[in-house]
Amino acid sequence: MNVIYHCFGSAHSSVAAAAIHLGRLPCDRKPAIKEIISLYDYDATETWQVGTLFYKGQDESGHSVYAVGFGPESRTTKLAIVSLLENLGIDTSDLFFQEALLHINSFAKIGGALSRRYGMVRIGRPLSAAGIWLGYGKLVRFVGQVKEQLKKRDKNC
Amino acid sequence: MQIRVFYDSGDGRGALMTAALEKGLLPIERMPHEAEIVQVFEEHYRGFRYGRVYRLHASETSVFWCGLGRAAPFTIRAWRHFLELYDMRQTDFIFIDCPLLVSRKRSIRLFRKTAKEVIKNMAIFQSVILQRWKED
Repeated sequence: MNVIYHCFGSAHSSVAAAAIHLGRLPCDRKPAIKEIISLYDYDATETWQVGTLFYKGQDESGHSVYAVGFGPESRTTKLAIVSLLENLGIDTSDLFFQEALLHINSFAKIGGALSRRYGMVRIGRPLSAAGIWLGYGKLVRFVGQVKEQLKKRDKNC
Repeated sequence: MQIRVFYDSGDGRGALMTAALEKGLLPIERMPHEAEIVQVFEEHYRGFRYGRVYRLHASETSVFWCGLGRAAPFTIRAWRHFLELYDMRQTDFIFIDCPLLVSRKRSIRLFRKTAKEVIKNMAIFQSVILQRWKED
């Protein structure tokens, strides 16, 4: 299964979700803001990279984990990807899209926009990380639900 | 097999018109009649959905069209990456950006209005077809 966490630019929420999924961020405690910022791929993507599928690693069950930014119309982009592949006769049931953007708060979103869109990295990066830190529990629960769904899918296969 | 995907950053009507020219559903050597354009819309545009990729014809060269709205710039990059994920040969795929039709009405009854706009701007759709060597 290919687990694909997506958000606007694959710089913050999808990166943090993938990091929790892969154990690079803890799920049993709240990490320090510094730990979030020091992720190698946190707040790192540029605007031109939106749409790029970033491989993040393999989880304990052998699922490949990715992060991608779909820009402002994630539904349209997702549909375009799946429908093109299906038109080509490709079975897309191994794509497991999960929208991470819904699971972060406004601080993280505003911080992310300041850093990536407006280039105010010194303010935006710590603000986005603080936002993720504040709502960390929600993000951990989201990743936990994703893992549960993956387990159910694996059982059904 | 070569696969051509015609897309536009609007509601797909421009992409459909260009793809129809490519497939010969509309004549390229003369100006199409309004009725011919309306027929293409009626046959292929019903149930249009943003982002959905529609196949125009199955043949040696597969032709697809879609309307991507604001998602266009990011979708092309994403397509390339997902094709790579499934080990598809990148050189088989050509993504062709098409001009937009500006009239807002999309209902079947108003296809005639769109057809008039298409006829008025036929040259820009034909230009896309004539410039495909750039993509090849």
